[in-house]
Amino acid sequence: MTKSMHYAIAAIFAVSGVAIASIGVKPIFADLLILSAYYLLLAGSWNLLAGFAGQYSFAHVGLAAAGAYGTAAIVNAFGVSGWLAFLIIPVFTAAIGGLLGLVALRVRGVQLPLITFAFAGAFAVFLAAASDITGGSMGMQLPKLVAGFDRSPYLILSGLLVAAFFVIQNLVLDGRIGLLMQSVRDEEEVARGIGVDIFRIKVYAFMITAGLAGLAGAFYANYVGVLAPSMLSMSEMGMVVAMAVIGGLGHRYGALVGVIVIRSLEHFVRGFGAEYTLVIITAVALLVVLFFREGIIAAVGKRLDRSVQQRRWASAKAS
Amino acid sequence: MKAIVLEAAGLQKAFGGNRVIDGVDFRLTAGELVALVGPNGAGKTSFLNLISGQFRPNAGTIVLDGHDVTGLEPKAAKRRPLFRSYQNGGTFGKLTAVENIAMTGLVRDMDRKTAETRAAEALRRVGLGPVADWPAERLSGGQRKLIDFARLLLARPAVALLDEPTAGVNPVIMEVMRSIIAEMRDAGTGFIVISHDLPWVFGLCQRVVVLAAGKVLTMGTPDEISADSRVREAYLA
Repeated sequence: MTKSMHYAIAAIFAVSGVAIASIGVKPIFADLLILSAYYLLLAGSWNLLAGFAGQYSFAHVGLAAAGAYGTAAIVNAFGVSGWLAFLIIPVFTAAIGGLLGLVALRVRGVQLPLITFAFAGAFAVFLAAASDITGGSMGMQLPKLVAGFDRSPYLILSGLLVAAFFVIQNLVLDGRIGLLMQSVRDEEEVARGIGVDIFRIKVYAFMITAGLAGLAGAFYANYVGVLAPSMLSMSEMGMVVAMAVIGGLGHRYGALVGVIVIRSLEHFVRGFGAEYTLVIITAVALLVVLFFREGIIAAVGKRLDRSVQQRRWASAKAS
Repeated sequence: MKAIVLEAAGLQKAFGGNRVIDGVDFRLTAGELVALVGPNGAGKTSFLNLISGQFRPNAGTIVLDGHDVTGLEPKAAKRRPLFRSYQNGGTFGKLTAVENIAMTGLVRDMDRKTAETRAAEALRRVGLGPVADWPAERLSGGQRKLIDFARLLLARPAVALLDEPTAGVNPVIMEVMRSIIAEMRDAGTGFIVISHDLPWVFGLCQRVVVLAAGKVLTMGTPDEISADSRVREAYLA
């Protein structure tokens, strides 16, 4: 796909949000779409970090929770507008991400997932324990961004945020940093040897993706209006990882496909109860991993790509 | 007299108590090609790792193109006149052939478009134009070696370190490599080439340095080295 096609896809999402809001959909579908946008921001940014920069951090939903609780805190304590949180919170979570990036420089292999997992776990415990500030398991409330039950503004906002995510992802992947990130993912020692500044690349990758996770958190807080520590549970992180992996880790639209598959499944099997939903999703994830090791979109893309490359190679040989 | 582009003095590197490089002095002038040979485990790749900054020496100094680069990491700007290739191909599996080569331009502050344009030219030069958009992981071992080698055309360095460039490469590609190396050597690039293919590398070099157990065993012209019984013994030891 050309660069302009990638930007066209971003534009389609921006327009779709407005179109769906104007047509109007049932509240249940509106909720499904709005929360799918939240998951796309999370799974997409985790895909950027793990799939493109090779940094398997499990602090991502923790960062989203930091963004959500941070939003509630500044709205409640300082009377800051929820809209302004969309600008402030990504900077705040990007700073936390930068610190995690510094940690990533010091650890190897399984240590990074362990340390980041511990970060998220400790944050969840803090949120539950500091009930005076966070409301503990009862939840922390904040006023809704738009008063009333009309979901149209959130549908428009969902489209715009997804479009913004894809634009940022395009800028990263098509720029210098995208290539440098992928070199660190593929062969860190060779990348260091040819002169890549590993320190800078890891810190940038963590900052950019943590900023996006914070943006997702700010959106979630402003939409849902009640926050509980369960938003950074292990199953939530597992869901985000599953979305990226099922769609295609390290593929630009992998998270999008994963979110569509999992959120649709969740919607259609919800009648069986929450615990069965998780079992069904796990079964689907296993099947995908068994039959399409690199995810659905990568398997399809590879087949198309292979035939194109074979034709090109054959015509080059013939000439 | 030709300018000295690389000078190492008293280089030492030890891991634990094991000295892999033990007091090596080395000098390379512009347009000179030195073959670095020796038995397995002699310290040849470790020597390149010290010169390229991947290892920090325990003792000694390295002066590259007039600048002291001792202990500087490969990312340091003063190391940009240096290029090195890797024994195992040194490619990034998921990046395309063009992107793999463009990396060399990016770390030299080239913008991505320019780097990719020049990378595509370099690929055509080594005969890999048709696979420019293929991920490196789908290419053969020989093609990956050639990609690593083609980075040389983007770097246009003062000093090039090539680690087994011809291992696993067919004779046609070896000939392509030979012509590019000869052209760049004649244009002033200084080369250190590690190779077990002695006829190939002796046909290109002016000087041979033999390493054994981390020390310079001997040095001389290809004819002198070929006739040296100590070299044969070191290889057989």
